[in-house]
Amino acid sequence: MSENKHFDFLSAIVLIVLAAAILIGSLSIGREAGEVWYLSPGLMPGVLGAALLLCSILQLVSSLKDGGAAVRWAETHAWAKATFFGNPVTVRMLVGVALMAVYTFVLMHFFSFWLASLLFMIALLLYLKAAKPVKALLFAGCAVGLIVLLFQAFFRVPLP
Amino acid sequence: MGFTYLIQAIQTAVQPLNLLIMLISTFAGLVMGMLPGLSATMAIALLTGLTYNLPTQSALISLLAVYVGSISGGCQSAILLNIPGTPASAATASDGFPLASSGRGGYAIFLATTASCLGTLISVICVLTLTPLLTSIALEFGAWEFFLLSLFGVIICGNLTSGGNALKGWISGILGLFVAQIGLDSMSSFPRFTFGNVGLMAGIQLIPIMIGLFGFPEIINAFKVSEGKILKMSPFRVKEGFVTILKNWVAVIRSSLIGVSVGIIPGVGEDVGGWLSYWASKSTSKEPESFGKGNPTGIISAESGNNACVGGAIIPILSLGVPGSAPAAVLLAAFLMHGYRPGPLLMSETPEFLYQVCIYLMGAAIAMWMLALIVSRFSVRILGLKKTLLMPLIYVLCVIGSYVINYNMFDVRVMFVFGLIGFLLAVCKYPAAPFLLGVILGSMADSNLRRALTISDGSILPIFQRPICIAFVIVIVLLILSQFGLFRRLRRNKA
Repeated sequence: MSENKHFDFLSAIVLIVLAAAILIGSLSIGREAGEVWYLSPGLMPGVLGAALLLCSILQLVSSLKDGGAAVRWAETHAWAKATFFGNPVTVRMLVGVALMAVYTFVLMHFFSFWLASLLFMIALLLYLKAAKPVKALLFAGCAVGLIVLLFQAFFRVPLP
Repeated sequence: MGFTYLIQAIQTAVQPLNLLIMLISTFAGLVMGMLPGLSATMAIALLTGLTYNLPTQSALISLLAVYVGSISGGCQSAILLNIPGTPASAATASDGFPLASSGRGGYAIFLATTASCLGTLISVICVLTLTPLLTSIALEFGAWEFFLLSLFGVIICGNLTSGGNALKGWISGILGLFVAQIGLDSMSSFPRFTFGNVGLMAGIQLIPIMIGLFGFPEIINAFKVSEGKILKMSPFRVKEGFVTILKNWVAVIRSSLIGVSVGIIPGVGEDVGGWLSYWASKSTSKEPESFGKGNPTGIISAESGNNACVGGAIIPILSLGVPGSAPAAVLLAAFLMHGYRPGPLLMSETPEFLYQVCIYLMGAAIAMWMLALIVSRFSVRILGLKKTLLMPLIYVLCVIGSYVINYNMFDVRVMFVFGLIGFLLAVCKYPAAPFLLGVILGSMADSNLRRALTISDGSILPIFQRPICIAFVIVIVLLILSQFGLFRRLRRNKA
């Protein structure tokens, strides 16, 4: 049995829902556009939705071999428990992604590029314990300074 | 005429600024390729955005140099760490690490680097000879052929990159094709799946998707992967290295030709080229049992095979507008961004482009050979850098790379979203290469399907009346059936 069968099972369910949404969306595009079927802008998305639905159903059937749905749910439950509760690697990854999200969606929105990048780099370096505070500040400062110099002065790219 | 273009390309390449850019880019590629977790695709994707404001020729030199450098750089960590810097060098580790473990790391790196250089140079000859041939075939293509070509690309890429479960590769490709449909429809400007968002109206830009798909998961993975143990470099005699290469000239040529052939197949990458070449050398060797225990032929075969894929992957870009591998897909996007239109008309619209690419590839291969041997002296230090120290900087570069395409923060957010998608795909073992190929080929598939149906008044019969279409249909059907065990069953029945 593949050790990733619960991933196959979960992803197949998500993909079936997505394929259904694509099919409904393409039918609605076809109706609104009012063209003959072969000129419709909904044709290609519709074909892709149908193909995705077919492949996802095959994937679901394949994932149910060796145990069925009950076993897959149990595996998914066990995996979620082991991954999301008290696992330091997961916590590290989630906090890392959260810091990247804060940088992308919040810091870059409110601050200039150099300040946002400096804050982000220092925060991530310190969180990952990649360097001591002074070293992190120096590394981040030099890196951001070099990037600003290279892009704004050398490439003449207006940074955000 | 071709000779004139070659001379002009050499003149451009040897301009001081371009030479400097070639050296810097090759060095950057080597370092990126050397560091496990930073792939060739990511290196080119990053550089595509960063070279946006450079003169076209300089940008072209930079992109090709970083491609050659990063594919070759992966061998150093494969040999010293037993962790391939890029998937392309996975086969190199099989014999490289045992050789380094026996105190011959320097010798192994010399063999790998020289074989990489030779592989690239041989592939350049193939680019020069095969591209015009493939282009002349591609000129016969109509709308149906282009539609089937995009379908073929996604299906074969799905088959070969999915690690045994082709369904996952196909699903990934279909998702990519779907993403390409988002935005205003190219034929009637009808908004598709935009949900009223102005940012989505123009469609999702390719570069942020690429950076997200390939860069983001590697950054997240670096948060959890522990650092490996590095061996020390050992001195060796260059003459001994050259003698070994000379003794293995058959392996170099065979592996390079395998690499070029694998590179031509849409979406199939340098890793497959390296493994196939390694397997071919092992199966034809008189001492197959010595492979995996530090056999120099293994290193030479793997490295000349994977680097020859670089040229091979560029052939379908230039002749069909279809990339041969994931890094080549990024390269295609970069070519488009810099105003080139790779495809059947390239040879008539910009014939000099083929010769420029070949000269720049050759220059990059030679620069890579020299730099890699110099860099190998410092490899231990570079490989000793903490990835957690580099990754915040890499993410900042990902942000800039996505931003500079349109000077738009929307693209940066797109990069983040596709980064999460790329990470989830990686966790569930769905290959990212068919997804990227789907995004690239999606628009071609859509417009050509509808154009073909318009010409035939909605009939699909022309597919069965055109020879190239029939060939495509047969190959596509066989590719699909092969994944459902048809041939295995046929063989069993015969027995």
